[in-house]
Amino acid sequence: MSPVVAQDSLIEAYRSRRAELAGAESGWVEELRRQAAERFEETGLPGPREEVWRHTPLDPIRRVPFRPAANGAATLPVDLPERVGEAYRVAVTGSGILLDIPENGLPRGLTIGSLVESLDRVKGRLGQLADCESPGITAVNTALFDRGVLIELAPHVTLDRPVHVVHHVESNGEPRAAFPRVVIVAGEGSQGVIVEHYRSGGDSPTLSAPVTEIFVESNARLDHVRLQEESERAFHVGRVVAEQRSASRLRSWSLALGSSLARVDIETRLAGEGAECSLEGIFAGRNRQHLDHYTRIDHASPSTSSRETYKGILDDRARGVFLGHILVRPGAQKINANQTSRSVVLSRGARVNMKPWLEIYADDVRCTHGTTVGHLDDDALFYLRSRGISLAEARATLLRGFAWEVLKELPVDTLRSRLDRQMLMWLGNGVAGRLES
Amino acid sequence: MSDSSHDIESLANREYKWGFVTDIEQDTIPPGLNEDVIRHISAKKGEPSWMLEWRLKAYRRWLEMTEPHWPHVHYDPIDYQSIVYYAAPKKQDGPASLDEVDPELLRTFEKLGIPLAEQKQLTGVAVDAVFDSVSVATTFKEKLGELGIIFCSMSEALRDHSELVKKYIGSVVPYSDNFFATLNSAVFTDGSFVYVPKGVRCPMELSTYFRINAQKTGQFERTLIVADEGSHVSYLEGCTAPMRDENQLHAAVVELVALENAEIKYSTVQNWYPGDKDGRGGIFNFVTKRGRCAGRRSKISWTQVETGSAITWKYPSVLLQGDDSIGEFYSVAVTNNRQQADTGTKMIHIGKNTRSTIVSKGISAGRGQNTYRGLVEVHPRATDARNYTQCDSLLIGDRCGAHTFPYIDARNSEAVVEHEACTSKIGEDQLFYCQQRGISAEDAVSMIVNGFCKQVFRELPMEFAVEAQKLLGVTLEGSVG
Amino acid sequence: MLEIRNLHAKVGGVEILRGVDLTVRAGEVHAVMGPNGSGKSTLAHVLAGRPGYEVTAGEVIYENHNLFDLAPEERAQEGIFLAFQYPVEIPGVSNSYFLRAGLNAIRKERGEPEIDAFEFLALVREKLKVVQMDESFLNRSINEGFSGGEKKRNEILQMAVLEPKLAILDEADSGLDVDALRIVANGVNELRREDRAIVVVTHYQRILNYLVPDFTHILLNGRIVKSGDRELAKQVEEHGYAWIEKETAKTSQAEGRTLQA
Repeated sequence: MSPVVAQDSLIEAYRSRRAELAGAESGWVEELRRQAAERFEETGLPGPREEVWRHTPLDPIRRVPFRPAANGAATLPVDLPERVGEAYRVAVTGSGILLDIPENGLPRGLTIGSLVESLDRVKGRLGQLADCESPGITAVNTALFDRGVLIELAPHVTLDRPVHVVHHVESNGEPRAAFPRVVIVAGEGSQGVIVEHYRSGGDSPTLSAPVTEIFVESNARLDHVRLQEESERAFHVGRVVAEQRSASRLRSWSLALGSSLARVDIETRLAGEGAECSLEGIFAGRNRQHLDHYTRIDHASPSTSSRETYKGILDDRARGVFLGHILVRPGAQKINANQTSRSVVLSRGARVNMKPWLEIYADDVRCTHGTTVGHLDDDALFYLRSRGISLAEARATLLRGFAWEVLKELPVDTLRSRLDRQMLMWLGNGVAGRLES
Repeated sequence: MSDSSHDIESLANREYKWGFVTDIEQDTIPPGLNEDVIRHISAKKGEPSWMLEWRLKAYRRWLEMTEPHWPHVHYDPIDYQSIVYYAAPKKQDGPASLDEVDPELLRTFEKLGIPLAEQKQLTGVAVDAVFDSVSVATTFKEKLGELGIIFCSMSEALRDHSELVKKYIGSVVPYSDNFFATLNSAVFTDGSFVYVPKGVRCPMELSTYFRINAQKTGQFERTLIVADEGSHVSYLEGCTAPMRDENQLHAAVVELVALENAEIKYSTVQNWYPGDKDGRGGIFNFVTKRGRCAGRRSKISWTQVETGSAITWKYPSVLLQGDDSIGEFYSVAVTNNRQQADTGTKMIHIGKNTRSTIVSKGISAGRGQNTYRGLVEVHPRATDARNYTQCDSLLIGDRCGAHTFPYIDARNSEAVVEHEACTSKIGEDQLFYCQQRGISAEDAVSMIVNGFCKQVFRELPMEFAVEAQKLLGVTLEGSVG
Repeated sequence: MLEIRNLHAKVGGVEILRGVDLTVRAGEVHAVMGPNGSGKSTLAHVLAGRPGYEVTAGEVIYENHNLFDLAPEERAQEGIFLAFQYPVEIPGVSNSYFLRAGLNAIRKERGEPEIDAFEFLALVREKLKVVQMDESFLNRSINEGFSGGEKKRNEILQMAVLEPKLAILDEADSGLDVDALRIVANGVNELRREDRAIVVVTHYQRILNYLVPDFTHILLNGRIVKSGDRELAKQVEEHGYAWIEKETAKTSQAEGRTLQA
């Protein structure tokens, strides 16, 4: 039997706190939470019998008696990360959200609110996309979400700068879990960039299990960047679910750099004709990090198109997992879907599992996918070295180029250049470290 | 929808022309499975006692197993107690010569294009003909014997070459491998055995032709091919069955062992009865095929053309143990009407510098569902392993499905694994281009489909490539008009 | 041989051809010119019977047949050949197999026996010279990996082998350099015959320097607005299409006035 410590502890937390949880007074939230808790009690954390969880055992999480993070004081975490691109910055804490915005306030048509205080506004949206049925952490998040943010773009609004959401979980002395919930509504014809940034601190294990629901209305263009830079004591299991209406565009980036065990699900349903999406991601792991991505693109309407690029870099004894599911439903004709996933394995102990997964039930489609697992190109390395570049530097240079393909279209310049620098350093350190050993 | 794609939709169905029944007196046992049935089968075949023990071990294991349901196929539950596990044409002993073979059987195989009679034998191909549960004739046996090549039915091998069989049977697919392989281990009735001695290059194609005839029988054959050091053999199998309304189970096991520098090429043209266009009847083709490149620089190559069966579920695989060994898998799988196929391969790279190539072409028409499922696994020791996979799907009509589930599990920093795949329909522009040159829509589709499969067909021995192209045409008839 | 009367056609619900009239007799070479979007390629495709091109009015009589009664392959078997502007790639099917399959389908229609592989090879070798192609072309997959020039030459090779009565060349010169253009044009010239008509659909007149037409027609907004001899093509070369557009605008205004009056 796999341990159920975390599950028991979290169910206990739900039972003892259900009356105090946000929305307890409004019937529909209470009911939503109750059903979710039942579901969680029934299924627990997903196990390796579930196809999409096969390569990512959650036992390290199961063994820890996580309790929901205490309501902390409503102050910004001391090490709030650098603002991306003069962004409207919002920190999500256990006792609400803290806005860090220019004096003249938010522009017309942009709403940023604490989710737990805006539950009335998200009735009919909350829980609509992120169902508790599929195995994962949605059930436990729905039962216990204690913090979060609602971001709404009114129809036809174009944001002048990105929204930078900082999720920070801290635990000292005992293991803490945070269940942030995010609802993003990009109104018809609106345009904007939202960065969700996950960080953790403290001397004890943390678990972040966030769920983000994104509604992209007709003709809206939304960029969603998910940056996960939690500490090596952190576990991270998150999910992003989007639904796109006709002629909308969603571009998503998921950058998984931190935490010891991280799993992110990115799912979008192309529910209106002419909708398009692009999903991109990087997972860069070293030491014993385990980084898993599951993506699902559901072509539910005709004339929809998708593009996907995921890149993995695995060093030391790290393990990377990528499972990319593309579904073309019956009747969804005129579909274009293009998926690429590439990984480089840098050391003998590292491991990568890649699984493109295409399920096609319509005929007027053009779906391609390519997957490679390999190492750095010896000819390119030699070429660089013949120009006087050291081996370590040559490797770092090539890896930076490898990652750049995903980073290059990131919509925020400052974030892009910061990540680019960071990748180079990360890679440089990793390579240098191994060369010495 | 334009006219041409409408054309593609509405091609009339040609009859399955191998669907006749041979009227012959059969020696069968009542349906059902228990230890006595297994003892009975073993006794009928006069097997050594170790074989019976092995069968019983498998049976006991099988009782503890549950039928797997992970493939992308759907079917009603199989009642294992309603299957006849042994059916054979009535005769005294194994035929000493062809003269002793029932002429009705010879006619049956002749009708199938597999003449067994001495004067009509296919040149360059030695045939082992299996009818229901037993092998009825093996041609060119003596000629092969001169080179030390053993090519005979499994029953014969168990009598005459017991030690060889004992050494290798279950060494690639253990009796406990999976539900259907374990069932096969308990009840297998016949199959072919091939042993090619050191340094011998088999001068002709070896071939087994499987025919299910009797009603309600399951076919459980077991084939074992051992290529000793530096030897070379090319083996073909073909199969057909009568048209019947009920589903029949075919759960075979094929094991290949290639020792150092040896090469085995295994080709299949699978044409079991696919059921009618509404999905009634047809063979459940649940087969375990695996090869072991045991020695250095050995090579195993699987080529399959899967056009028949109601459900095909098989993954001919290669364990690349020997350093520098090579595994190949070339596959064409066609599903039309209500056919379902879940097929692919596993390439397990264990040795250094091992190479594998996978080329899979799936064609779905009608309401057919076609799934490619593959695994490329690179073990930590498999330095410089290389895999290249290409799996393409062609869709004909808007009610079929094409699915691709390739897994890659890489644990070596010096390995390179590449996978490419493309799913699309026959281009309307391609079709129109052919028609503009005077070629009918139907011929154009068959031409385009054959072109799509060419990479695989060219791996087949000549006569089989022609046969495969024809089969493809027949299978797809009904999807274009 | 070919009589087009008041032909109207739609593509994707948009009316492209709006009353084309054209008569082509055996032995003649006609050039149909027009700017982009005038309907030239549509006309070519409608004649060949491409799916998705909907004829909404008018008729086309070809060799005493109503052309629209015939499927695309029947038209080809009756001797209509379309050289594609963008020849299609078909992986895995060799050029020679394709050509022989087409030729035999046409021969069958003509009541001639099928040609075997050896006879075919002898025939095709002769025809390869027309377009200065190497025999290795025959074993390559249809148009796969061909350069633009090779594709166009391959079209002319097919025309030479299939020996059509009516050949329609859709932008046979697009994307060709001068040398390739000369080869293609000379190839077509060699195929000019008393009993064969050729319709050259083109935006530019440069191919007409090598392949001299007996008649030139200007197609504008889905109608033939002006016909003449090869001089008309030269005028287009010098002055573009704008002057013809103006001229037609005036005429139609004049017509409008007449109608109002």
